[in-house]
Amino acid sequence: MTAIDAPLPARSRSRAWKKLRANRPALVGAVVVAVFVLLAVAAPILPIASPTATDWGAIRQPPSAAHWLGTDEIGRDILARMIWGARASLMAGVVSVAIAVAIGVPLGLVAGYFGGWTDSVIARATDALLAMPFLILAIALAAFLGPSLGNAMIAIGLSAVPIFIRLTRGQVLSVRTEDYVEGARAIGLGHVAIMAAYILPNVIPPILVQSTLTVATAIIAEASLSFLGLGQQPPAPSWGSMLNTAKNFMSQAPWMAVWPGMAIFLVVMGFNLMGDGLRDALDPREH
Amino acid sequence: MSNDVLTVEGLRVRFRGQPVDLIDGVSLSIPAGRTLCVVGESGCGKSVTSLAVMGLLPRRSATVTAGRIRFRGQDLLGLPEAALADLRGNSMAMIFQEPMTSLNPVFTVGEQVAEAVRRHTGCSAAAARDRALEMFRRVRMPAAEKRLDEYPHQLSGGMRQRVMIAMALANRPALLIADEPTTALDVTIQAQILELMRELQRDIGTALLMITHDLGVVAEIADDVAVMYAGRVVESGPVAQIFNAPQHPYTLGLMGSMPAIAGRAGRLLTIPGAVPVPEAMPPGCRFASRCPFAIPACDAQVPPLVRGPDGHAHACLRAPLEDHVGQDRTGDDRTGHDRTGRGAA
Repeated sequence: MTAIDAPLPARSRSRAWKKLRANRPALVGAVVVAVFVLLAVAAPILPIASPTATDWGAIRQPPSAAHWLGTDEIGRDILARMIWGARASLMAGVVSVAIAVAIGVPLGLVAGYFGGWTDSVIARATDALLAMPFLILAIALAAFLGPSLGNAMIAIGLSAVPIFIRLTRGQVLSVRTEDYVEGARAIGLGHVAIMAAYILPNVIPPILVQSTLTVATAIIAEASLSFLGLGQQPPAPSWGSMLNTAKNFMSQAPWMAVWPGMAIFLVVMGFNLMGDGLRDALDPREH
Repeated sequence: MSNDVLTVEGLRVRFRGQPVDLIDGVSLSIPAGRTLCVVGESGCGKSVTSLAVMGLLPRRSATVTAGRIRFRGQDLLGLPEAALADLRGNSMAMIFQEPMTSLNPVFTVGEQVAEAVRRHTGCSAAAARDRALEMFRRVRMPAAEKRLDEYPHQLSGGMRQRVMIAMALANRPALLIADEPTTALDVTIQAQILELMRELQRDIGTALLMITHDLGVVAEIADDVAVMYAGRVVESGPVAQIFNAPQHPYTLGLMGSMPAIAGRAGRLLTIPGAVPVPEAMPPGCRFASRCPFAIPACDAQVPPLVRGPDGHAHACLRAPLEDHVGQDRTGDDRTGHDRTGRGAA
């Protein structure tokens, strides 16, 4: 009888969407991210200077009408470099998380679903990787692979894999015991079908939240690697390498450091607000 | 009996780390089109038996240590997993206790019924959907066509159980196992669901193995009854025999603890004590410590399941119990059995 009277658990997408739209911070985060994404996507058609064009007559100029955000130590337009740099940062964030999800989620799914020695091997390896600080691991991998933006993405992605293995595995462990999984076996479905149609769709919400938050982490990681010279290679622009150059001119040209720093801050905050908003919207306990 | 759809013989199941078999030599059989109710209190092994038949026991923790399960002449215990999966949801299907959690929340109920059809017939998506719609109508789902595209959370418990029944019967199984299918439902819905199951069973000719602890359900739907206690069948036979002339003290106890609408004066009877835990399972009759009829011999040996000419079988040394009603137990010096004979009113 309790089953009849109990409120129906509303899991509908429209409900989550409504909650997300009502969440002001998440909305702000989404707008910030959207602005950066738009700028990054539109970079080739925007009326801005080339990000690599030097101008020896305009070195370390403060913001002006000609160079809205000023110029750097060899006279490149900082606005143009910021916008092109956004491409590198956002790409690095999204691609590395995609790598991490593509590797981590299937491994976590298999570990959680099958259990036993499969699980032991995967879970112990995950624990070992998680014992290493994320950024240190990424730096080590990037140094090993060689400095380039692509390798930085791979390094960051691989470093984030254990996060997704552990998250997915934990979620699968709880979903695996649901009655509908046994029901799926009772209609004769095989392991692959059950994992694909019964387990995976039910563990996606937390993975989505984690992905959003990890994009923010990955953007910081990319900036860090570029700062250290292990990411985007000059003269291609990247916020991290811009900061690296700017640190030498902090007193003479502080704007060189302010803009990339602010951009990193804004994008990371945007993704974090979005992630938190998604978490609230998808949290079944809040219904 | 060659027309038995399912025969379980001497099934023993042991859970890892436990000293005795949780299922201790269970034998059952169900002829085509008949209904067998397996009755017993929680933890007596009803559900484990049904999961063993479906091949759904958790592999890591439970093993079948002995016995045979024959389904339409085929030995299920020897079948590889893939062959079992081909049977499940096809010629043998199962309905679970909790309709609220037995459906996948991310797919529509129509898709889920269609999936069960496609898995075993390999028909097109459209044909499977048609079949799902046909089944929805047969289980008298209100607004069947509209419900097909709804998600489980949009349906009530009764409607979800109708979906489960539609899914289970979509491939016209020879055997349907229903594990307390009405326990989680409202009383009025219970009656509807039972009626529906009986009707569809008649139409399709399915043998029904119904797990329940509700003697009201048994009276409603059973042809035959098997009473289980602590992993053993203690009494079995045609439903009328079990209700009219129960021969095992545990069956008597179960009936004494069932409230009657007519209302008998006084309190409901309860069976003193609890089911023995696996670590302290007595060597003889597992019910002896709670039994008002027990004699020392009960603790010494496992009472065999004796089948009478009328198909009524019981595993009690003291049967027929009528002989002992009102008597003081002879030669019993144990204490704690102060309810002598009360169950046999």
